[in-house]
Amino acid sequence: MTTVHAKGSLAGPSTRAFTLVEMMVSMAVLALMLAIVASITGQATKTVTRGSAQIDAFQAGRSGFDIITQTLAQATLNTYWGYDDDNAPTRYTRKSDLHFLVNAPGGSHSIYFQAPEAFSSSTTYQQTRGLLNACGYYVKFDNDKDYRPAHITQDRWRYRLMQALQPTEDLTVFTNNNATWTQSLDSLAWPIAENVIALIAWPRTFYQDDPSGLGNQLTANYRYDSRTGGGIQYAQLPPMVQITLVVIDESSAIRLANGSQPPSVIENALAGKFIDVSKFQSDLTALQNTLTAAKITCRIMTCPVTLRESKWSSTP
Amino acid sequence: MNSHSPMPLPRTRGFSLTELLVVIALMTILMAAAVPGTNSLLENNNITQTGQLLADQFAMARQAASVRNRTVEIRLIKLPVQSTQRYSAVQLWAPDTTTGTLAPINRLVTFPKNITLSENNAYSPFLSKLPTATMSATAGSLLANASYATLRIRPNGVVQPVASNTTERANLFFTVLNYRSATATTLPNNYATVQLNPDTGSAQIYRP
Repeated sequence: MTTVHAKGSLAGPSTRAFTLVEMMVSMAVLALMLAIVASITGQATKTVTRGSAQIDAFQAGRSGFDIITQTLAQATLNTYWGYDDDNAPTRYTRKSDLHFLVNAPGGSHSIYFQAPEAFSSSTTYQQTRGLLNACGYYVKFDNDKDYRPAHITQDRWRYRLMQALQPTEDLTVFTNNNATWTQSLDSLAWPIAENVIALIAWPRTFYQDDPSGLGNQLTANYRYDSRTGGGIQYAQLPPMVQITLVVIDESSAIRLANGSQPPSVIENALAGKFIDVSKFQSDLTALQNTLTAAKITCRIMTCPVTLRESKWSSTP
Repeated sequence: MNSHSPMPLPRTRGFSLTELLVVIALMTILMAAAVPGTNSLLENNNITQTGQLLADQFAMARQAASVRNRTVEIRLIKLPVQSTQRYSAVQLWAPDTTTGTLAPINRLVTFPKNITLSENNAYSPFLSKLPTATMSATAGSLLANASYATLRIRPNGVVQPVASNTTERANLFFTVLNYRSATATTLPNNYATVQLNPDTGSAQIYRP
């Protein structure tokens, strides 16, 4: 610029340009404002993502819960009356070729039963209604490498609620003893919800048949085995199973991720719990407190499931 | 402006042709550098959107199946993409409550421009397992003679055709990518893989 006008000249509006310093100051102010806006937007995005991730996590848990309760409500044992001893019969007794089993080794439980889910891999059988399937539910901490698409290479170690559904044509419950039929089922298991850290199954009588409210008439240690001879559990379905799921959210799971090692906080919180029905409430509260203290967001879902096929009788 | 002092006005000379040419040349170079970036950004955005769209349609089918207590069909429809028939639209069909014949339960949902499903067996293995048929739409409509592949979701969430072993179960996925890579044997940098849970019908999206 060569033309310079004296201050106050009548030559018209000042045409002096901005100086470098002015420009730099304005740029700096602009940059500062942009930085502030960006950080606010970033924070808002993060909050929204976290919120929706949390909703998603609990949604998956809830749908898993729905699946368990729906399937379990249909559990059957097809009970019939037969000789107590086929070779030297003395009386008729309740019998069943099927099996209802709750394992409670401490911590999370597993539950195995048969239900008419009409699941079959044969297209011919798929048309038939009411086909019997063996079902199993349990919680497992593992890698997703067997479940994810082959071209995805990133490992995800998580607690997962597993569902094992044996196609009708492969039923092994009639031929095998306890251990092998549930094992053959486990090899078919597929995750139905992630971040479920515990499944607690509590077979009990209806509340009105349980004046003490202890819920220990059928089992005191959560275990239930319809193939245990002689006892009250023999060849009968419990009238009701109280199902409890403990679900954590994905951001806590990411924070706790420790490669192939299950997070020790959760393992320790579950160790030795849920082996005595009289301590159910205190175990659950203790678990919740431990998780909260470790800043793990969790949700507990509980629902008593009525087994429609159960014709409960208190005589063995 | 003071009219009676013919002061020289501030410099009002325009830009010279050379200056303008230089500016235009610079702008062209910058734009040429930016366009592919913008294009791939748009494409990324479209891929993300399509992955979400597919997952939403699966979720909707699952919900419709559960609410209506009947099996819902998910039709993956082939429409022309850059003059080739590619899987690029979805529609849900279910048996009508009164007549029992199959009828669409939502409007045709088309993928954003130039986005299709991979037809490579490594990236959409479930596609080759699906039965295919041709739409019976009126001649002249968009869907006339469009071929489609069908998967079904039962009210309990089980996906049909049923996968019989672990490998087949893990193969219940489709990969969304740009039309150029529809049959390519290698994945482009950008894709979205939508996997279905064989037992619950819920969808999970994987992005690179």
